[in-house]
Amino acid sequence: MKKLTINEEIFLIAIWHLRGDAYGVRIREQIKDLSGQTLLLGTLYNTLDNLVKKGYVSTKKGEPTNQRGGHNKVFYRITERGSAALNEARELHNRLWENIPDNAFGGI
Amino acid sequence: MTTPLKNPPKLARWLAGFLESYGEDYAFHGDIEEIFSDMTRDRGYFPACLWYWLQILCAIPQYIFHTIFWSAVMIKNYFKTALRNILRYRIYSLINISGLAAGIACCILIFLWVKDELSFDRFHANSDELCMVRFSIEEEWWSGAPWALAPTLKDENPEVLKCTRFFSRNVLTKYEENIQYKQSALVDRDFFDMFSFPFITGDPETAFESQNSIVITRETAESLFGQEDPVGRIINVNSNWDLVVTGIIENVPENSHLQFDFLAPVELLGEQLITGWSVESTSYVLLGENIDFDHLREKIAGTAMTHDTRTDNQTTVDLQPITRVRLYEMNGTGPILYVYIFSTIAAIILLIASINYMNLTTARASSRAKEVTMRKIIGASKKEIMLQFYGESLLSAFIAMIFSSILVLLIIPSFNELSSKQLTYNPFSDFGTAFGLLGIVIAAGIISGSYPAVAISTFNPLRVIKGAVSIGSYKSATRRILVTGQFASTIILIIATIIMYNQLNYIHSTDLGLNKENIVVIPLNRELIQNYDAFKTELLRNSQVRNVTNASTIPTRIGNVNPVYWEGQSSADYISMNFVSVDYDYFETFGMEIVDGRSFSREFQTDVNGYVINEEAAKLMQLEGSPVGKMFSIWENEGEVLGVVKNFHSRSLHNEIVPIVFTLGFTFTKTVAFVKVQGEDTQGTIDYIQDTFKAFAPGFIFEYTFLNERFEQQYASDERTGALFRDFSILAIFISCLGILGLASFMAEQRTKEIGIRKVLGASQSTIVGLISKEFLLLIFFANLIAWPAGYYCARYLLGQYAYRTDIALWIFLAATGLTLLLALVTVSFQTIRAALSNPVDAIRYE
Repeated sequence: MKKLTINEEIFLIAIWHLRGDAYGVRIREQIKDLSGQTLLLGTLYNTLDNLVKKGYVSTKKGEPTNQRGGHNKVFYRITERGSAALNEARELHNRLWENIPDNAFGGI
Repeated sequence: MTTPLKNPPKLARWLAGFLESYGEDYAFHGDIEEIFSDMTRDRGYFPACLWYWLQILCAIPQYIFHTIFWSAVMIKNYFKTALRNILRYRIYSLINISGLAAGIACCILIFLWVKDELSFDRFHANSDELCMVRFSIEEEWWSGAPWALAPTLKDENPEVLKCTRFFSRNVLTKYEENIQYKQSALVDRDFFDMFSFPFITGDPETAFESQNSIVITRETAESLFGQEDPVGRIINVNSNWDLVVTGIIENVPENSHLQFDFLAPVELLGEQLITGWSVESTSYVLLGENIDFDHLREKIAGTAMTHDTRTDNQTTVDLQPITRVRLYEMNGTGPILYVYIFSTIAAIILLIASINYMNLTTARASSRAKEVTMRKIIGASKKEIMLQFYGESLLSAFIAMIFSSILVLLIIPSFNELSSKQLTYNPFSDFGTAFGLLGIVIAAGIISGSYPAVAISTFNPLRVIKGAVSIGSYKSATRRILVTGQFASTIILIIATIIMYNQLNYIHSTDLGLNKENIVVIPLNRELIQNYDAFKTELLRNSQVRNVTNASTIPTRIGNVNPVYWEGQSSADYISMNFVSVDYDYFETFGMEIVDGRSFSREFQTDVNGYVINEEAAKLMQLEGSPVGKMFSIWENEGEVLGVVKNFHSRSLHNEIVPIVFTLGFTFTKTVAFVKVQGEDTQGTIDYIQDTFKAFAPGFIFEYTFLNERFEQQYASDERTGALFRDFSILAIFISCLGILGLASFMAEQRTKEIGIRKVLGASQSTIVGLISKEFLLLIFFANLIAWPAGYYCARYLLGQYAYRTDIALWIFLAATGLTLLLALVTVSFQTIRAALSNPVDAIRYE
């Protein structure tokens, strides 16, 4: 399986945090909390589409609301494949950072 | 919180609409609205709008990229499908592509021709500011202008920056032993600044510093000097001038109306001549940029009248932009007509080819009904089906493009000969050609694809699968109209061709009023003129030589208009007539009939002042009785009218016969001699003439032509037009036949069941053939209804170019129709006979 890019990781983790409430606006907010990045809506959806294409997430339509000008929400859920990818990513990170002391790169 | 919802900015909303093609469920829209309303609540309306705008603007570039990517994928898909379809129905595709290829090839040729015509004289740097000086006497426009006119215009008008004369004659040029006739052009110094004829060696600034200079073209340099360096050498021109070569210029391009082999200073002709006001040389001026052109034209109109007070003739001066000289005469029409005619023919032929394609494709649509229907059921939208068929037609057009390019390359040599041009077909190096080619091909593809795309995408899939309806059945009204149109165009083209052919025959066989057979034309030079009588006597010694005469110009070029006066003239009329100076034996040599009075005679001394006029001139004099004996004068030379000669066609049959006055002497030098020979042993007689010539004028080249060749030249362009019409008609017929063939085979296929049943019921084979043919006969009948009036109008227009023409006869129309009928029947019968002979059992079993 191909390794997750760091952006994909951030997205997947954000989606995981949101459980059942993972739609556009919320995901964007969550990513802001997690990484400090403010995404443009266009970028947000491009990456989400890529994730869907790669099979890491699946979508589900929600109900339209007035506030959304009559458009419906699309909820994102992590798939099994996505979960597997996340596990691999975690393992990789742990292995990488395992034996490196806190001040190995100077500073703090 | 129930705050009244504010709407996002309308323009941005509208832009967002584009993004909808991402898919209906694109949550972008909902999210952006949600955040927008939150923001409006939290931070205010205007910050929210700003944010909204930002999001939209940044999303658009990515969207564009996305669309392009997916479009490319789709196009590749259509391409594959189109190719597969084309290969699947091989025969029909072949017919279609051949038809398109023929049509496209034809358009390409005409396109190249038109492009060349329109490009005349545009290669000069100043082409937009260069004008030819035009001069008219009594409303008749000349190609030349008075010598002094151009310099006068320059002096009097600040808008005129430079001017030059351009006096061109075929003259004898000599370098050491090389004696040749070359086309000279005597010009002013400004010529090099005005026109762009680049120098290979030499300097335009100093080229004409000395009056005895000459600038030659590369071709001339090679033919006179071979490998030697010409610069500094001396060339003898016209046995008169010894000129030093001061420069070599590039060869004159073929699309320049100014043609010459060398240039020399116009001052060589003498100060007196070139400051005078007689009309002999063409002249050109260079205007400043951004001047008021029409105002200038008004200003100069009377220039000649003011300065030239010799006569009271009404003269007008005008300017014609150099880019118009090739195609337009002063009355507004001219060779540009041919441009329009041929462009129209190209369009018609392309149309015929496209109609073919349309017919065949829609006719076959029912066979493809299942395929198309399946696509629709799977969910292809109407647009997608349309795109598929456009894809096929465009692909066919592009494949046809390859075949047509090959065809064009094969045909171009003979086309060039026909049109006396040097066209090249190279879309790889020439942007104009590549552009035109693409344009033609895409136009062909789209036009051809339009009807099938629309018709096929709009039928009801359910009914077709049930088998109830066939798409555009063979009785479809639209198809009938298309085929009728095709027949009509073919018939019209045939009619036009026959008319042109008739007219050309008429030209050849008309009695021109003079005998032009077996007359050898020899240009006279100084030696011969001085010893003319002796020369003539010597020639007449040969028994094969019947008559010898001379004149100031050949009968086809009688121009020189001057005002004439006669006894009994009503004073208001100032009539101008053409005149030519001849000798005693002129009328006899040409077999021109004297109908009143007599011709010049050596017996009467006073005849040197006498005049002979032609019937047209006599008519214009409007005298009660015979004009013979009346006083007549040109300029101040008074004389008596000795006789009236029968009219003859000095101009081509395009023009009316003009009034002509003949005189014996005058200040006009005889430039050409005519020798009438018996006609037997022509070569021997020519040799004899040549020997005599050499004996009298050893330093000159003997060149001769036959008079009837000269007359042929007049009609050269008409001959070409006739030939082009003929060739294009054949092409159109070929394309039409292709179309009919395809259509007939389809019809036979369609009606296989019907034919089978009819046969079972007892129909004979001839009945079957008649059945299918009947359809076409009906269509041809209707086509005639359109074609005959249109053809008649066309014929009138074409013949209108001639003052003397043939009639438009009924048999022409019948012949055109008959021919089309015959061809249609032959093409149809092939298919129908096959259908008629088929076994009915197979037909009915056919599923």
